[in-house]
Amino acid sequence: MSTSDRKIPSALASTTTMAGLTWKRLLRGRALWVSCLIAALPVLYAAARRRFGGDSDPSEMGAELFTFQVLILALLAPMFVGASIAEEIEERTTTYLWSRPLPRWSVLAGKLLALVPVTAAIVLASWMASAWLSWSALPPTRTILAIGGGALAMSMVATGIATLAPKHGMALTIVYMLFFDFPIGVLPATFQELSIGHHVRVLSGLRTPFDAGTPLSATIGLIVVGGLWGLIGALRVRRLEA
Amino acid sequence: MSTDVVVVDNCSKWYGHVLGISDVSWKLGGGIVGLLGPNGAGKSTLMKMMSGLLLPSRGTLSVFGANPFEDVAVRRRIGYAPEHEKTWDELTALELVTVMAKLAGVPRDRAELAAKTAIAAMGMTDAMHRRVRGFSKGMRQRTKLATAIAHDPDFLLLDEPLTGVDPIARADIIARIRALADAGKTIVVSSHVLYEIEALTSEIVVIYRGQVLAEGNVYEIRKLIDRHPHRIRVECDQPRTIGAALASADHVARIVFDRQGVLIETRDPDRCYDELATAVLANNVQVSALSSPDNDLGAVFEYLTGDGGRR
Repeated sequence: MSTSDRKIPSALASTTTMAGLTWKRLLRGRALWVSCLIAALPVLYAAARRRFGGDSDPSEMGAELFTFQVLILALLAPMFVGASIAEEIEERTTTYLWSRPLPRWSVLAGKLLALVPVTAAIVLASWMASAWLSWSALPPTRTILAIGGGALAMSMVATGIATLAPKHGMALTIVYMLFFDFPIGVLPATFQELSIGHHVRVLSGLRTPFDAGTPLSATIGLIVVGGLWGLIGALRVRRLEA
Repeated sequence: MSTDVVVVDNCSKWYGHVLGISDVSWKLGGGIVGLLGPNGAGKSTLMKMMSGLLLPSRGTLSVFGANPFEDVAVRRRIGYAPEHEKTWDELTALELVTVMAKLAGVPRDRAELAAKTAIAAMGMTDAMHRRVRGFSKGMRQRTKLATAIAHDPDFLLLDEPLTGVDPIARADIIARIRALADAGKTIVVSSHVLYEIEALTSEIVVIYRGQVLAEGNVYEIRKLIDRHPHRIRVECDQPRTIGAALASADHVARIVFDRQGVLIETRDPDRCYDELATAVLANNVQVSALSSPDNDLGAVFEYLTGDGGRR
């Protein structure tokens, strides 16, 4: 190999290579199929509501089904992102990564690049199918954007928690979402601003009676909360030893 | 400016209250060096520090003049094969080595070629399209080595590369590591198995309980331990005659007879060999074999550690 070839990879190249690696592993693993089964639950629920639920208020039913989708999102983001990052650290495959000339945050960025679209796509497919079964129409565009934003923000939370506690990265993220994020999302006033679930519901327009805020405040909330957890993850891996 | 590849200066590493290495100072100029010590001696800690995976708790460590933990660029010149087995087993060997080459900076359009070359150098071409999941221990070791060399590094760190490998594969891997050294790479190979290191190099660093006990050529290390008796074994037809001739010498510590000959322990090997030759000639003794068990690493290690590596 000539000397000119001896360059260190750019952050973008490292990120896309990591994304490719993550994709390949995902497609050959079981997590994808398990997550599809989980995402089928709201569809089955919607089908059951249609058959046995009688005439429901469409907006009430929409909010109910969307809340179900946010719950699914809170399971899939840790399943994909949290587990993937935690596994690298726990299984010590980081020894291969950290000994390479790449910025460590690019490993996290690569995983997010590969897994956030997958998480969002699965939940979106589930949401669209549920909506079609319920109203024989596609859901509003705002809800689709909300799921995309929620997938990214929840994945960032999973990133931060998995780098802090890799041994139980996935489980702790699920616990965080179910027992911290969601409950504070129904608390009044500023506590809600810490909840990704709350911001996703506000952004979607299918809010519960507890949700206050505007789409702009929800977007900012997702960016801030997700960004903080992402920053925690990036700072953590910077000094993480293998 | 220093031309040393590695400079370790008063380095210590703790894992909480557990000591990894303690106050190690060491320089590496080039060639193959064997890092020798029992399990838990601190070999892997030192390897990981050199590959940029661990930061010293105290002291400094540089590779090509830079701190490998902080300096991304210097890691481009390092190839590291970890001790553990874990890789991304869903990938084929070619996919794995290609990804590692890309992450090490090999341009995308040349990464696969670099990976194929590395895989061929490790004798794995026939299996490169198979998934790592189904590989034997030896194949995994070769694949790990291929990931370490695919980006053509100047400095290779191979942590226990021969562990669990069958004898035929071991000989083959040793030959391939030697070929890399012949190609100008600086290589550090760790092992807790003495004869593995001996088969690779005579330049060793003996590490034990986190400290470097000795370094250099096996024979130079032997000089460090001259205070210990050096053993010379003589197989001959008159062992008792030899024993009697040397019994009164002040440098002889002990004489042990067995069926095949006599084992002499001496504090002055040179004098002992001279007097042994004189005794053989004077008594017309028929010598069938003359050997020194202390010239293998096992004895050196045993002397230096005081317990033969058993903890």
